[in-house]
Amino acid sequence: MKRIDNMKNKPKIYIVIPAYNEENSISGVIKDLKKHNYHNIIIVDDGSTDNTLKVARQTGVIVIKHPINLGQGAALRTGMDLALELGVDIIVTFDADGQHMAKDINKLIKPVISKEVDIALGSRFMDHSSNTPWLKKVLLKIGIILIFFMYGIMLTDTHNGLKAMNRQAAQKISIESRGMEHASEIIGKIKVNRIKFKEIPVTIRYSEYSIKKGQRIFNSLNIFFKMLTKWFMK
Amino acid sequence: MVYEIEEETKMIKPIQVIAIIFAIFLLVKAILRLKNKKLTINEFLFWSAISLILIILSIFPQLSHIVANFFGFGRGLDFFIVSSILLIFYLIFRIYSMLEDLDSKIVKLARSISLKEIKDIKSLDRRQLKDKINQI
Repeated sequence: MKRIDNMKNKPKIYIVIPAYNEENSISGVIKDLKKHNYHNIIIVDDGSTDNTLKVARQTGVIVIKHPINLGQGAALRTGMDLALELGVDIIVTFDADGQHMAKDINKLIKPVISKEVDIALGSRFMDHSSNTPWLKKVLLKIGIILIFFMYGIMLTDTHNGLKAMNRQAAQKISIESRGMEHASEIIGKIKVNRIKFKEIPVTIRYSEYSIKKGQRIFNSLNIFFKMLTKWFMK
Repeated sequence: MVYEIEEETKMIKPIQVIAIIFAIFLLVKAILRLKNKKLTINEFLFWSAISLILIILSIFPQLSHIVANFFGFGRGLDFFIVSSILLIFYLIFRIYSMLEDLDSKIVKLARSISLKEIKDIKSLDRRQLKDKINQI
């Protein structure tokens, strides 16, 4: 009961950021978040081989580190588990490479706070504010169609790391995929658990850095193959 | 029938020798691993049975014809290849699921280490924390 009262006053929001070798962008991301008044930040350092851990610890936010590199899905789960343990009301997942904007978080958490939905998904294709490169666009659209065939949910953007969810949704989702397949897994769990969702337009900033760090074409094939084998072996 | 088998054994083909050597090699390996306790008794029985079957079939190839005829294969070799492929498929499936298991165990282990570390850090005071950060 106490937690519900909390929700009415001021919900406890945690920003979970999985980071792997992001020493160049991580401090900028944290600064941006702090500027927009989000101080509860959990950085999950996924066994980086560069100075990500050191840079993140110097900013004074909560930093948790994997002893070895496990993958983005595992890092998200670790961060979400920790946030749940800390008694969070709303979890926001955010990318460490600087492609998300802290100002979009407010739009995202609004429907979750008002209990209109349990999870709000960021979408870069609902308006034209993102400068998505065309090849990336094509791949993402293919992903959207595949997701539709697999789960029967038609979204405008399935592979966006910017999401906001309440405690109950986070508990139900609890990610099992280790790697990048977590994006599809989350949508599958939304479907199975009948979690109320809504898409919110957000802006993705494609810089030279984030394109270099982001998913390569070959990787998306790899992810698709992994999902297929998982299906067959289940 | 008996006469035929004797005929076959008289003309030993190179493949039979190779198969026998391979089977003996497999058997010796299995025994050594059992001695070092790297194999359970069940696994040892499985691998020694395979190598024994291999040895018997290479010494008496006629036997495989009888088995093949029983299952409806034309040649002994066909039966052998098909059953080997089935066995390999099964083993790959086992290995795949073992790897998946191992993988999720490693993730769980790594995560618990991470969460424990953060609890340790929380119990430190401010100065200790600064030292720790500088160490990294």
